[in-house]
Amino acid sequence: MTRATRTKQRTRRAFTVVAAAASVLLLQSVAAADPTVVPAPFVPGTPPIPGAITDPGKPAENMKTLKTTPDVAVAGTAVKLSGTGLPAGKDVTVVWMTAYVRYVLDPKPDSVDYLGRKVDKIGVVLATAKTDGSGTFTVSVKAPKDFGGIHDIYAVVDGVQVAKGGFLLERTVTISPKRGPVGTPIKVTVVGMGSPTYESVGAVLYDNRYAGAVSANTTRGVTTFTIRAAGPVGTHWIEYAGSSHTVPYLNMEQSPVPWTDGHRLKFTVTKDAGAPALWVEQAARVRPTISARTTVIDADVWSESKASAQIDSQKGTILSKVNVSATGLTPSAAVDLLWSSVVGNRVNCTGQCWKFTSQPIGRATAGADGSLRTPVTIPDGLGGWHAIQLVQAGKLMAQVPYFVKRSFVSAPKVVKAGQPFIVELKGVGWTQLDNTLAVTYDNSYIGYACGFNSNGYVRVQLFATGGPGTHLIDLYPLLYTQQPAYPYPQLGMVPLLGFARDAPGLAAGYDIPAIRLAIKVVE
Amino acid sequence: MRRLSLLAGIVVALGALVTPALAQAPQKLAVFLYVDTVNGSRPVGAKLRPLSCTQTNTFKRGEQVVFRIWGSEAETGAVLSTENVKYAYVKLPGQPNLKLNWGAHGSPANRVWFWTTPWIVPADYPLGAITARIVFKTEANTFGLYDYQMTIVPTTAKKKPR
Repeated sequence: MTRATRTKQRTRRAFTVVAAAASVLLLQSVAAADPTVVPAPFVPGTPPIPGAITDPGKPAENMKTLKTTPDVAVAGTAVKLSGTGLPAGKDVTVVWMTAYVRYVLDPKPDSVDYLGRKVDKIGVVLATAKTDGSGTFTVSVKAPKDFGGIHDIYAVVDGVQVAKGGFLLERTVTISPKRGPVGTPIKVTVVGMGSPTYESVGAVLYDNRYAGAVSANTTRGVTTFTIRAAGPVGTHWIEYAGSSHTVPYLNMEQSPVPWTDGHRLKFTVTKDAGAPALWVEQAARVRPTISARTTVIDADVWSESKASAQIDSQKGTILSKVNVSATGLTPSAAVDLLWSSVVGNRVNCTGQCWKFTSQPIGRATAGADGSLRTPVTIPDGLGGWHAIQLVQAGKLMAQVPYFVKRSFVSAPKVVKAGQPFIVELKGVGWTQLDNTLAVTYDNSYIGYACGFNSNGYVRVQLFATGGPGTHLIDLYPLLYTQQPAYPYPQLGMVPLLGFARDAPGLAAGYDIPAIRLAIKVVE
Repeated sequence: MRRLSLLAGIVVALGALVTPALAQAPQKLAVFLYVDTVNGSRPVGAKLRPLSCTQTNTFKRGEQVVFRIWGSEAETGAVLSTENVKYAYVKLPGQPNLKLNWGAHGSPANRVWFWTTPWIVPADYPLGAITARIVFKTEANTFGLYDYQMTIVPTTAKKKPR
């Protein structure tokens, strides 16, 4: 072997090692999360933070106690707070300890990962008062509509917590209506969900069958959600159970947060009036709070481009027709319109599991003034956020994001007992926020279906059970907390019953509905 | 268990070392403390739990809290006892100081000496987080301080189905 050959081999080995190391680093960078705490979008009906945010002060060496009467009550209750033996003739700030809760996401160009919640404790001014000559004060307040559970209260004088009180804001759960035929939408209203982990999730049972989980993180402990009346004529029980993650915590009474114990409510099914019509229940309309959108990569736009693009509708189902307009393009030159998406899956992969794709969706010519207006049809493919890109002479001149909504395709109306049947959807996405849907059958969670590997087209394979009559199938949003999996993200892999008002994706513009179907089972 | 206790002791000691200089806290902390609480068997106005003397830091009003403390002098390694402690107490917001007592606990064949004091959570005591300050002063005029966090919760009534 010549010296030159040995040198070449050593160089090749060294290159292989460096390449392997680089690929490991690349894999690590793909798997590592870049957590983004996303500001909570405003959902109508969310109570405001119950006072001006303030410094809660430092504990006094000789802290007294506050008398709070009552100290276990629901929001809106009149409450009297009093303290004695405090510094005389001093201004007192009564500070209510609460929290500000936001979701944590990792929005990337090729996906969005769900990482959990961030809870920041804050103190707010509940009232102000002045101690008299003997160091006594009394104030009356209404218990705030806020996160439920125990709130510490401090009387703060000159930045020092001179006295400590506490208040347990009780959880209330109500339903409306309380009776009706099979398929009746039952609106469940919850006030007083907590902000700490073990108080922040409610688990819903329908006749002891698990239906899904509910949260109220960005809605400050208050939420409403809907399930539908199912089962034979007669009494049915809806339990809103305390939970820590997804399913009921059945000995909550022995836990450190026993006040989150189950609320049990009776609903009477009056008759089977036939299968109710298809109902696509949309999430609340909110303004997203972050601008990151999958497949939209600003750095890919030609640095000298002066073009900008607009679209006349930002959201729609597959095959929607939308008008794209632009200015600042190269005048009188051809424009290729491309649809940016991804292809791959989370399952059979090592290293890179999916990659970007680009699909032509139109070709036009810019006007003499560099403007463009042309219709395009949204492709039949993955749901979620995509970019419509305008390319001239091989250069990306401008792009605009578009959200493909999940849509119902078909389901049978009548199925023989014991027979399989298929429910079809399109526009299912690929991120951890929208790649999967959770299926309940008569309010019982039976499994999930994923749309990534099938390019957004989902055929849910079901089986007709139960007696003859109407049976309900509900397809809920689900947070996919696998591949990659992160430590401790609550609410994963189950029906997100409270999706319409509190879901991590709302802040990122993920508008995912529940699709509510029914079949008639016959002998 | 011994390893657990040691670990807990280290944690407590570190906690004592990093305890901020609240108010008149002495400059030199030369005492190591281990602190925990268990539920006592003599609640007043609260249901007796099925098991007593179980470690917990969450108590309902009316329950009996028992503070348990083990300690030693950092310099000599001597166990804190009535031999080398001038006084020891637990300080709680809005409550008289609770004197700590040195004594033997457990069955005769398995007796262990440590410091204790019981406290019945008053029926109107504030709910939520409270800090119990443990204070030891030794005959050598050294101090041991530890701020122990607890949570007071209400006695809950079962909700009736509606």
